Amino acid sequence: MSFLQPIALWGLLLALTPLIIHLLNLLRHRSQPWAATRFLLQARKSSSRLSKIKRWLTLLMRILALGCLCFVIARPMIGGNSFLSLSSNSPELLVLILDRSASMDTGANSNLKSKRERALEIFEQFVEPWPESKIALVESVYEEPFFLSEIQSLKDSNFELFTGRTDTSSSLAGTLLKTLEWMIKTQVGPAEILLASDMQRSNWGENKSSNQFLRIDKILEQKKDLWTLKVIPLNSKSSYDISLRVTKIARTDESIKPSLTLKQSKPANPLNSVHIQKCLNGENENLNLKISSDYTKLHTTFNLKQQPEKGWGSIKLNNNFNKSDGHYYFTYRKNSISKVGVLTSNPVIENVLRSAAQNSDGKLAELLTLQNIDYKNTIQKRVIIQQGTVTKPISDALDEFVKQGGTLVLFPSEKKGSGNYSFFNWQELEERNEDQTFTIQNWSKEDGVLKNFADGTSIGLNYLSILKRMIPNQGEALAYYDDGKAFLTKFTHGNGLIYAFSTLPIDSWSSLKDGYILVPSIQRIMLESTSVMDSSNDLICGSEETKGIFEYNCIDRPDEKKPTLHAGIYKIDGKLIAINRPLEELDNEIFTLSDLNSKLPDSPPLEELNENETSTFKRSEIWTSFLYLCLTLLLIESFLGIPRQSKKKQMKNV
Amino acid sequence: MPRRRNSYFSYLDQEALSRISGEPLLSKFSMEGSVSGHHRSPHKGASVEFAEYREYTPGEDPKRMDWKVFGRSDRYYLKEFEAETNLRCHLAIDCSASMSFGEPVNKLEYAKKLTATLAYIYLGQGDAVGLHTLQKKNQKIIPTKRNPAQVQEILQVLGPLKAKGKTNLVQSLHEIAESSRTRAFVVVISDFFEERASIKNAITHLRDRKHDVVLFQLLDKQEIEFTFDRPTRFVDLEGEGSIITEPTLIKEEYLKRLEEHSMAINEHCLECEASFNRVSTTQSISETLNSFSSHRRGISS
Repeated sequence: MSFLQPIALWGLLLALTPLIIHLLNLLRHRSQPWAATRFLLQARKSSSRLSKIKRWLTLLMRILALGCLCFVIARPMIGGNSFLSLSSNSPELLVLILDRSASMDTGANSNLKSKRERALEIFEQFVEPWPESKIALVESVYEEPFFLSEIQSLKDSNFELFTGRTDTSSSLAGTLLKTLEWMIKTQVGPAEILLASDMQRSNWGENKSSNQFLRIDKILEQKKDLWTLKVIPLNSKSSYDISLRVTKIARTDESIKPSLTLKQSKPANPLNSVHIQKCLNGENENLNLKISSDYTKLHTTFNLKQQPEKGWGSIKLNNNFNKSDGHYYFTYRKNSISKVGVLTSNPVIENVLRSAAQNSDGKLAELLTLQNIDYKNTIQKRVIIQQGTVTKPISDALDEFVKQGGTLVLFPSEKKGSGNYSFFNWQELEERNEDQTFTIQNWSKEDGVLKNFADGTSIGLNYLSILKRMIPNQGEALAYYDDGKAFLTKFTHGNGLIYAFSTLPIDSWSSLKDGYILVPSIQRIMLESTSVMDSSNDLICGSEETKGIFEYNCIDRPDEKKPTLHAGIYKIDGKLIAINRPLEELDNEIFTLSDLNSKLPDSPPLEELNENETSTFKRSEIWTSFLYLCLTLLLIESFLGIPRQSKKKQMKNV
Repeated sequence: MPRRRNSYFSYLDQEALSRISGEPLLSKFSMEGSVSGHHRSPHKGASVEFAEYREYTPGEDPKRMDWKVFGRSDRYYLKEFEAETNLRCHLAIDCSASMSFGEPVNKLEYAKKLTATLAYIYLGQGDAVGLHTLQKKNQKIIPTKRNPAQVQEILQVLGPLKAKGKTNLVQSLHEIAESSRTRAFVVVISDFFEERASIKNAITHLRDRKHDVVLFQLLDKQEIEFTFDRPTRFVDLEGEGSIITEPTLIKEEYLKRLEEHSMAINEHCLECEASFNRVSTTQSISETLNSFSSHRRGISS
């Protein structure tokens, strides 16, 4: 027997209240002088046995009645058919957790229906035996549970928003957890939960979701007698598909060169060639490309000459079973390569910094003044390198620039107390002589602006000789001095980034002007700022950013209306946005049922739903039985309380 | 409830006196008094109330012969009249500790009032009244006297009387039965919480001695109704220990036992022509005596 509200069982302690009151009353007796003691003694001798039995029976009835009441509130459940189950055995709720990730629209088995459509069909059959049960649907995009008035609603076109095809990925552990927590919150009784998913490993996020798995495990273990979770088997074993993945895009002012990878899944009869449709600003170009094996790498070029400044492009696989895993969308903007400005009053530093920040054409970075910082247009100036005296107008302008999304690289001022900003400051100047210079031993070599070169050689920060330094107070350290203080820090401010060096590229301060560190780090900052800004026009379908978009207009696929659900090129607030399906949806690795069970060690082992299985539910609530029992006990108690009528008439005063 | 000496007269219930004193309280049986009174005598006397005709026997006083009957029938008849005499009233009041029970008036106080009022009434109608206090120690007996000042003497004894110790009811009743050589009117005021058989024996003994016996059983309201509802330790007033019990459990049986006890005494009284009166101390003395008086006269109250 299990209980829907086990907390109510604490009420059983209250069931002892009549007994406690009785005993307390005995303890709290009062003293009464009495004359007719002989009759009391006689009465006690003859009547106490029956009266005591009656009394204890009454107490017992009260205790049992209260106990039954607690059981009624705790809503007990029993498994199987029992004489106690007065109501019919049907679950209170039937829940479908629908994985709507893009991979659910690959063909299931050999028929033409997708896995998602097949899941809906199975669920429809599953709920048929229980017309009285409530039906709820939780799908993986919005993750909001809602009730269905009838199962036929799933076929309704209005429900397409919640049951239709998507280009999203899913976080099934999160969706499952949200569903279970919602069920707890709404105090759902007996329930059958069906999880419809192709069990793509990437959708389970094993490492990220460990806490969620723990919580799911705990809930399922607690509710093991009430809720049953089963998985609808949907992973196809022989489906055929080709997927397109864009691994890298090389960009110049005049062209875009994407690197493509084509992957054939389970190729019984592998294709030798594929039809690819390139589209640039609506102009299509068809290509017939030869492919050789499971993985084929291809290159293609989009020529931007005679194209507008801003535009969009796409690559589509034509002969593909899946509607969307052969699409890739992008946007472009000509001359979007980073423009860098240097703001300093020291001519030596100016030369060094402008040289370090020259562009690929060898053009030195522009020298800025306070007046020509166009901080409101970060497109024109992506990176500003600032050094020297900081006045309030400069501080405010730079503050606004970074908040708008620009990248700021800061160097300390050689003049004491003149280099503090409203949003950033330095520590006091520290100096050493040439025999004991500051040295750097630790820095981030794997990624970031100080990472090793492509051939694996180090950037060589340990060769840097530093005589003076001013340690930045803010930011995450990317490189450390021997004494643990930061050489270079990085932090976000508004929408932008700030890098702060702790020394100056002049001889009296350090050997930074030699360039072997300064040049690659500045160039990497420039590159990073460029890529950040470009990728801001590309979003992942179903991501949080897309969920906030309400005004849009799909350019390439007029039939697709929702950037939250469907990939494509959308015009949002006059700006072109490329929305692509998540790359992880191309992974074919399956998260098996045993994998899932290993993540949920305490809960009952999950099973796959047998398609012929329609009536698995074997539990019922028996609170009504306890209610009747409680009423019966109260009736008996009342009956015991009725005083006996004396047969002899009482003698009146003569 | 101790009273000051000069206030002992308050034991006389004025309402009862004004209500009862109009008509004499008569004995059911003929009494052997020394002087004329209101009660029937076993002897024929010179009262105005005709008793019977009896045939003349030579040697009897010819003055009592009814000549009118001789004229009509030529036979000698004597006309006899009822003799009326006074009685000796023994008032026995139980002073055991059990009589101290009761609120707002305890049974002893009620008994004192009843005794004093009865004494006044009987003295008022020319009867001789005596008092017996029924207790183990310091038992007091006032012999019967017709003197109206007897009231004062009885009140002086009743006034300071306290309920304490065990009862001496049965033995005292036997002593009263034995001590009174002539027929008497014996009034016993008690709760009669004694062995039923011994009480019956005492009553039988009194009746065997031709005494007119009247019992007043005084009970407090709590004793009659037993309205306790929570566990109570009942401490016996006569030192027979205590019992803790749940009153609701034994109420029914207790009331049954009490009823049985009273019924048994009452039935015995009926059998031997004694009179039994169960009185609740909530009743006024006037009501109690009115009921008693009516019953004496054969009027149902």
